[in-house]
Amino acid sequence: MTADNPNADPAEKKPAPHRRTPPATPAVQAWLDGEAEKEGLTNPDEQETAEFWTRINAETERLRRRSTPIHVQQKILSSLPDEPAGSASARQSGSGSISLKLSTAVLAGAALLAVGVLLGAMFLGR
Amino acid sequence: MNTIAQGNLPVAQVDADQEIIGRVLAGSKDAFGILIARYSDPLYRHALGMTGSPDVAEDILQASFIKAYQHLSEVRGRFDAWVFRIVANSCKDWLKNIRRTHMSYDEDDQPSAYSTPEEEMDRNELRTDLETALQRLPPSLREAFVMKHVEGRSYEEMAVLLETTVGALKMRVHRAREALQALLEEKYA
Repeated sequence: MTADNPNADPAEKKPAPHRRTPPATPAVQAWLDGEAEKEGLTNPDEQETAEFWTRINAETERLRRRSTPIHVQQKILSSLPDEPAGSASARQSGSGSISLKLSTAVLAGAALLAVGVLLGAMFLGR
Repeated sequence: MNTIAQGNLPVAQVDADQEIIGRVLAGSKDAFGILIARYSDPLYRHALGMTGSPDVAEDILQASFIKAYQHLSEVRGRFDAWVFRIVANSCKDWLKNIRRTHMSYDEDDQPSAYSTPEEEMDRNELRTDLETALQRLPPSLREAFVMKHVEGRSYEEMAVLLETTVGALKMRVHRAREALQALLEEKYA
């Protein structure tokens, strides 16, 4: 009998005390690691813990089936720079070779020729 | 011959990766798409498990593959282990910088295997609670639990990818289970 409800059974009013799931023993851990069979868990406490983990495993296995959204792979591919560092073409352009425009080469050649003519004239004029 | 390399990746696949890397470095950008298609799913699952956010997981995946592409000539050994470490480090960096109060797998587009609305509701609740509990684990325990339970990797493969020992990883997974059980059991035990 309680003050709120005189007809209530006190035993029914009290919630059952929560019983903690027994911690995973080495045998349960071995089963979860895939190193032992579930049937080998004969202890009632271990069976209770195994049932708890069976529910969790069902959810983690569902998460395992997830795959990359289709658009993501294409997005990654399209966002790649033109060429990776260390590629053949990158090495070619970055290996210390000198590239010249045609006009620059002609001017350089003409200058060298002029210097040569000048030096030749000086040498012959002596 | 179907020889198994360290970490459970077939030797043939490791060789195939090297051949593709050679093609990319020779100028075939499209060949990199083969590596993206081959490894994006496990890497995406890892990023999703670690961050809890599909948007963040996509961003991390994209940035990681671009970084891998830009440094492809530096790959020594297994490409999958190398690119995994780029993703894993990006996840840890993100966790260091961002504190999230609520994350979920709400954008899940996988078909449901549950037949009734009640079962579907229970599943969504468990999923959300599991994700919330995962976010409360220290990053190293979360990483180990996600790799073992969500990605389904063997301890040997995890040891190769994380460059540590099987014993150390077992310890982390066991501690993660204990912590998760303590966080979830009041509701689901």
